Amino acid sequence: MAIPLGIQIAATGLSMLSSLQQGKALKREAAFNRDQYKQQAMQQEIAGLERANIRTQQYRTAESANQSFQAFLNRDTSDMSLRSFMNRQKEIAFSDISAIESGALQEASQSRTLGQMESFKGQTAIRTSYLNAASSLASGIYRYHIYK
Amino acid sequence: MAVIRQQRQNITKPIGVIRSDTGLSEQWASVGRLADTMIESSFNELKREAREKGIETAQAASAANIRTIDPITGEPEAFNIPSGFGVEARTAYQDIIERRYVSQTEQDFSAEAQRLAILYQNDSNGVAKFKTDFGTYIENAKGTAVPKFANIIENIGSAMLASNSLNLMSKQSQKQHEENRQQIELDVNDLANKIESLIGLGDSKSLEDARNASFLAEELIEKNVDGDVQFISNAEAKKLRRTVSLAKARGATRRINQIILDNEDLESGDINDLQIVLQTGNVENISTLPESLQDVASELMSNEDFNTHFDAINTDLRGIQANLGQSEADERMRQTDIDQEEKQKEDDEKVQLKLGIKPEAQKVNDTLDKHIKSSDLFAAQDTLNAWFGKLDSIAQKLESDIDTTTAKKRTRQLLFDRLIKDVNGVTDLEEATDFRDYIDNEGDLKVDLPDDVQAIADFIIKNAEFDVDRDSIGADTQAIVTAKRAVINQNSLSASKQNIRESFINSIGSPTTKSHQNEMEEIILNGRPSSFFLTADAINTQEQWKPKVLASGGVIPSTPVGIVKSAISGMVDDPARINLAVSYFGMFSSVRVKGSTQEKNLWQNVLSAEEFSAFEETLYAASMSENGINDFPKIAATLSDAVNNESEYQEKVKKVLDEGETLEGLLQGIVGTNNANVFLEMNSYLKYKIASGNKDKDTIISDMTRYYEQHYHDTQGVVIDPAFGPVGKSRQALSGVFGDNVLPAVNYLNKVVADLGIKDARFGLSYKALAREQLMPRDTYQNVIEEEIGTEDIQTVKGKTRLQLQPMRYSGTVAENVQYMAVVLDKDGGLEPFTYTYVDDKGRTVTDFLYVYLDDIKRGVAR
Repeated sequence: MAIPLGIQIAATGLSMLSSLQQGKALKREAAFNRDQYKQQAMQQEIAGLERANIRTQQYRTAESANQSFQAFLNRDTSDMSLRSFMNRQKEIAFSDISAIESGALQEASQSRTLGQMESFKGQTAIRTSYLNAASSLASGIYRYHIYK
Repeated sequence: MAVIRQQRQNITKPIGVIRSDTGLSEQWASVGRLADTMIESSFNELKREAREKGIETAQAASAANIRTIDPITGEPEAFNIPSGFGVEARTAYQDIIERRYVSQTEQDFSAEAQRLAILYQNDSNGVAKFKTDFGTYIENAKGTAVPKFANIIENIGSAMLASNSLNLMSKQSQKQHEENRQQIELDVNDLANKIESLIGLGDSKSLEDARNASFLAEELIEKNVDGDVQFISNAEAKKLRRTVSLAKARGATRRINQIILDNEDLESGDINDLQIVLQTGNVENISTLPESLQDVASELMSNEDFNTHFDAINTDLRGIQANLGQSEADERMRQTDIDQEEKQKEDDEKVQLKLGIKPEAQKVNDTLDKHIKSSDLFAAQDTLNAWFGKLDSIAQKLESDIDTTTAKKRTRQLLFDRLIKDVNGVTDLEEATDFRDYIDNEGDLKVDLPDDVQAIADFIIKNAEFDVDRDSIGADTQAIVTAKRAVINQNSLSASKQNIRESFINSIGSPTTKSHQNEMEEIILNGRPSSFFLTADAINTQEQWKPKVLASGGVIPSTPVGIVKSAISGMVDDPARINLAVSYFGMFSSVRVKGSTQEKNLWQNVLSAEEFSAFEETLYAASMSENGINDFPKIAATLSDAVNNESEYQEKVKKVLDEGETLEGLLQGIVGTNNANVFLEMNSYLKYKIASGNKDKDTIISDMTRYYEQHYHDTQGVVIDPAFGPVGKSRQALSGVFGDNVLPAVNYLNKVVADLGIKDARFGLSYKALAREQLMPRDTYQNVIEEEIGTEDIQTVKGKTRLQLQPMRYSGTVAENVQYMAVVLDKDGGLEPFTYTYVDDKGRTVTDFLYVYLDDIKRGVAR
């Protein structure tokens, strides 16, 4: 009986240790993922800002070119039709910029939410590992009660 | 240039994220699965062990604990689970205990039921009593048991009560039936016995009673086979009827016994006739029987079951016939015994007569001897006649003359033998011869014998039965003639031997003459058996008899001569015999005979030149051979072949030698010297090597070189061997034993010399040997010794006389215990024995030679 009993004790210990170590490993992975999502959110904000700037720059360049072209056509810049055209162009451009900015913010927000989820998963994994370890110990005691 | 219209350019794209997956968690998950597997397998094993423990403990529980209900728990005592049991062990334990409880209860109930059944089986009210007692037993067993076990007890008990009650009832019924059946059978058998007895008596009253008994028996059978209760079956009824009819038949045969007793004229043959009549079954044949047997024969044949009982009737009749035959045989036997007693008496008398012959003959012989001694032949004749008459009378009584004829013959021949011996003392050879011939011719020969001898001869002729006694008389008379002639021959022979011995005394014996060799052998044997020379005793005691050979002028006894000649022929392969031959050869190969100033080899006188040469060559070759003297027969045969087939041998020699090369040249190349003695020894061996096989030249040279190095050792200034002196080699040199470490041997020798009080002489290694043993620095050897070696004083050692050891001839090689004599060199280089003087125990001054044995040197060095 000595050898199987020794195996029981050792295997129960090993089961507990593996549960704890698995929990720790999952927690470390979750922490890593959380940081990844944080960084991703930051990158998404920066990328949105950059695209908004580029769009603004495009708009400014197009506006300047349109004004030069109107002048060439001897159109008064206060011309209503022209003004109306320019306003429409402006509206479109700023609408784009706004969309870019809000989209980037939404994506960053989403990434942050995922990061928070990873944090939660890590905490859950470590709690689960504690529970599993305790379960292994309890199972070991139960089996001992069966075969003693 | 067109107006630049603003278009939507931005399309939101998903941004990826790197998710971590190190695999570590999966590794630990694998470890966890492994642990689970280990847990599962070991858990199963532990459960199995726990079950076994539970089962074993349950099986070990005593029957008493299982049987006894614990009043507190209401369960069997064994149901209390031992402490420390887990669920698995407990379950197994309880399971087994419960099964054992049920089994035990069944056994107990069965035993009790059996006990009660036996107790009440013969009781008419047994079933009721059984039910009561067994019911009480069940109630007691239930006792304070909990319902579970009370139910078990109730179920088992009820089933057993029902089955056993029924069984008991059935048995009682069967028993009653069987008793009735047995009683009927008993009654019928009693009646049958009565019938048999009554019929056996044969009178009319008895026969009437027998008939009545028969009716009763039949009535009894019928009533019980057809009644309300059929106590006997039809088969049993049939069997009982046959019993009755058999009794009738047996009654008839019994009556025959009585008839035989009443009629003495009846014999066993009559019974045999009766058997034949019954066997034929023909009633008409009854009239052929004696009248007294006819009625009973008729009665037997009228029996209703005659054929059925025929074998039994026949058996009874055979018994009667056997008894009758035995009585008749007893009568004949009694008569035979009387005859045998009379014969035995006669035989005893004859034996006594026979036994009496020998002591009587002894007395007669003594009487006859007295008459002979007193030369009274008449009285002897009377005694002889009386004795022979008595023997004839005995022969008549014995009805045989075998014993008496033998007795007569012994008496006659003893008497004649004594008479002839008397004649031996009073006759010479001529008279004895005449006496022999006269008797042999039964008196029909004219001889001139003294009167008393003539009377004896006539007496013998008269009483002899020559067809029987001739050989005996002839042997006796011839013996005295032979004895007288032997005495005369002996006297004559002695003169010849005397002459030979005279020549021995004068040292002029003839070594080649066979009679001289025989005489020498007889002298040496001196009554010992002739096999003496075939034993080691002859060699060991040579100092006692060898001087006689030397003193005779060198006459070697005939047996040693024969042994040596046989060995030379190569036909003897017995190692012991070869050793003897070599020993004898050595014994006489270098001796100094009386009257001679030089040593000589006596074998040269006895052996031919070829034989002598062959023996020496074989010896030399054998001494070089790997197996030594054991190869002697093989070498002798090989060399003998070489001599006998010279041309074949020369062909072999040619194959070995190069053009213009000689055997001597080949040998010189091998040994590096031309020493004659080395040549002599090695040459024989070379000859043997060539003659013995087809080895090529290189192999032969290799063999010879190896043997030379193994057998010829450097003398190193310690040993001197005259045979090989100039080459500084010897087969008995100490380097053969001690190799390049001879100095300890020299030191031992010098200690021996010092212990003997010798102060002016010592042994010493030569410079060359010292250098070889590295006892001297090499440069010293190179610079100094090399110069001095030529001037080394071989006569001195450190200013003292140099002693050297000379091996004694035939004392063996270094493989044996060589005997050396200490010698010194004289001024001319000749050898002289070294002598020294000492005072012995009696105060006398003694001069002696110094001998040393190799074994002593070995022991000295070892110490």
